[in-house]
Amino acid sequence: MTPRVQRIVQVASVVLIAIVAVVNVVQAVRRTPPQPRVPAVVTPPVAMRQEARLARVRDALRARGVTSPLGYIGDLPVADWPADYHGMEDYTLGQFALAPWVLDAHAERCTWAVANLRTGDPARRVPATFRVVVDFGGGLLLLKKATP
Amino acid sequence: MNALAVAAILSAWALGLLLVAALWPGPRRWRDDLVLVLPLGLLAGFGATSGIFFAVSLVSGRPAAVGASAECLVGVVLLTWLARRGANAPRPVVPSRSGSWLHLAVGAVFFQAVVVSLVVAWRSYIAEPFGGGDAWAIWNMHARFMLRGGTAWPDLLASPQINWSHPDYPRLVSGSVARVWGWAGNEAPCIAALISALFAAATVGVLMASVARLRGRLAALAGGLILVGTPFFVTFAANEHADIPLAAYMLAAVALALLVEGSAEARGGWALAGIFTGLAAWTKNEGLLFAVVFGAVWIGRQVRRGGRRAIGFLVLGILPALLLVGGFKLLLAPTNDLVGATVGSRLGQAFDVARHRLLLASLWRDVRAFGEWALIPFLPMLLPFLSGARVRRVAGGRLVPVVAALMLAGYYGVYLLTPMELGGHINSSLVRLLLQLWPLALLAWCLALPWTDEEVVAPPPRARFGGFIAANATVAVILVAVLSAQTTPRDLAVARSGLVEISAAFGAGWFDQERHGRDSWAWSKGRATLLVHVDTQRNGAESTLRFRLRGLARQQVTIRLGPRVLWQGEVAEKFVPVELSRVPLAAGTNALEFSTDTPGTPESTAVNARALTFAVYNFQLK
Repeated sequence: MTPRVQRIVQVASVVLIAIVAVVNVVQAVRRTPPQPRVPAVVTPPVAMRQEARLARVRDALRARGVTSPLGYIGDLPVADWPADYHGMEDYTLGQFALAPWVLDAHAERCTWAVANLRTGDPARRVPATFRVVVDFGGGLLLLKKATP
Repeated sequence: MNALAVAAILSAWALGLLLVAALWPGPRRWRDDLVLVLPLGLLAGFGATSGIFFAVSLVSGRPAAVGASAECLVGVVLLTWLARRGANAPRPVVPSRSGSWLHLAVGAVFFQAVVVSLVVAWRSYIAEPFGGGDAWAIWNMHARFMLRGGTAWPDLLASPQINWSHPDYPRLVSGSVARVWGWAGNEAPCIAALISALFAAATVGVLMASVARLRGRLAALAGGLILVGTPFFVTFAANEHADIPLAAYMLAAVALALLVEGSAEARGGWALAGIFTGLAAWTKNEGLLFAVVFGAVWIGRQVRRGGRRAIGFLVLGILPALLLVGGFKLLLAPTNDLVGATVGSRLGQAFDVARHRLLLASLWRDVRAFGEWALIPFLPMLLPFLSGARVRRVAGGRLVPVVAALMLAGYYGVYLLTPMELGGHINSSLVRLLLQLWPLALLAWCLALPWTDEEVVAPPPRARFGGFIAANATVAVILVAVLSAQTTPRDLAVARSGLVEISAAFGAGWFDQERHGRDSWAWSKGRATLLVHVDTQRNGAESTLRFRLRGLARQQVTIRLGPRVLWQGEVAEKFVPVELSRVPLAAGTNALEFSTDTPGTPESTAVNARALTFAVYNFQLK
């Protein structure tokens, strides 16, 4: 190719790259819509909801000098987690919210436990060996193993 | 986010700038390369301060405050060194460059692409303030333990109950986030998001500035456009993971090595390349692989060229971070889950044809799709090479694709021998691994381009830079205004007057909103609320609401705002226009209560047919 043609090809390729970039940036805009204007219809992300829900628990744990590990009882039993990712997600977010306490998904191994039950029945999910220390409402309970 | 958080970020940046400036290789002064020094300084600063914070957090319950003192000390030492160095430095002549019409046009497109990308990154943050899954399960989780756990945090994080959070992962990102949280006195998620976004910005900055030095500004703009035009890169920028920071450090290490290739005054450059290599290892476990790969490739090259001095300074640069990583891995971190299971028993997986087939198929799928492009850029990226033009190669440039390829081979080997279920492991990570290598791949592409600025365009007339800036700023403001005014399907209507914005959305009691052409409507289940939100600093506002009502059966519909009845009338199958004039609305969300005296009418005889009462059509706000 002559130098003139080479220059034309090179300019054209720059222009094409710019056009492709613009199309892709528009794609990025379409993939990230804004939040609805009315706050009441915005569903907070699951991490924020868990964070807000468990905020009260940390103060209660601190006030009672609770140390790790802390049992965690969610709506789904551990055995159901492989089939339903919500179980692990709930526990992981619970751990994120309650750090630096270390949460144990097998609550029966711990002296203290938190039950975070939105849909689960406390009578069925909470082991009989635990008694309720604080009922935060809405299925959120701080539990302690009853001394024999 | 408060002033202290900003101060924490700026102080880290300042420390990094001092470090980079103190080691900047001659003959050019660091001030002449400010466009490159600034993003490198940010990377070095976050790396250094995260290391200081990590070390201090092991012995002090107030690591932010104590670490700040250590940072001041380091800063004073670097400042003294820099002052001494600067007094003796010769002043080379740096050629000035003027812009051509092509530079300005492509530069304008790039500038606006960055502006739009910032809006996209902001929206991504708003949708998930704590970032994606790995952000709150790993990186921000570790940051919380480092900050909240006192000096006991290593033992807490090493608890077997939470080994799913990968406590063996290096601590650059978590340490940086925990440090700024410590300075700020709160754990605002926007801090973690901002740090994440700054790493992304630094990646773009390092890529473009280094390519501009090595190949020219047009190649730099092309590389920057492709990177910013990668939707996954932009949406992931504020996602608070460690993949983009790792990409940034790998890019910085390789770019610096290329910049000092063949230079007689390169000691500081080699040391900086080593520092960024070490910081890559301090960022993610993949960074350890990079340290081995890059070290081997570049040391091999220097051995062939008799560059023992270069090797020495590279190793000197790597050493601090490598000691940090080594100490962390050997003394504090539990065993990594991938290497913990006996490797010997898994060697047979390397000969499993089905695994190779799955891996190659996944690579083929994800290489084409990881960027989430509407238009894959690979074909346009090949076009420049069709011109047949030849330009002088960048010394050492051929080794960039070698490093990237060896990294990919390393990832392939890890997948091959993984103890995890292969499909799940690939699906949860491959696209992010490709994103880690993407800036490096773009660097290789830019260096291979058969262009230089002088060859592509004829000597230009001097461009009016001021006018360029003003025009682009105006377009940027318009773009941001348009994007800010964008509504979602859930926004029924939006009206603005001055500083007051009023918006409406269906609340509870409605079936899903429906659309046909320019009409939109929703059927009520009986009692329903329509929410009208007034966003203003004043006490409230007035608005006129217009819509049409229709019902499946004749019924009386009442619309109330609190105790006040705004409208009451008969609704049947024929449309009834409704105008609620100058309704006084309080600041915040107002709930208009719709009710009817008639139960719902099934829309069909199907078992799960909806019982419909009345519908609101084409709601408008004035």
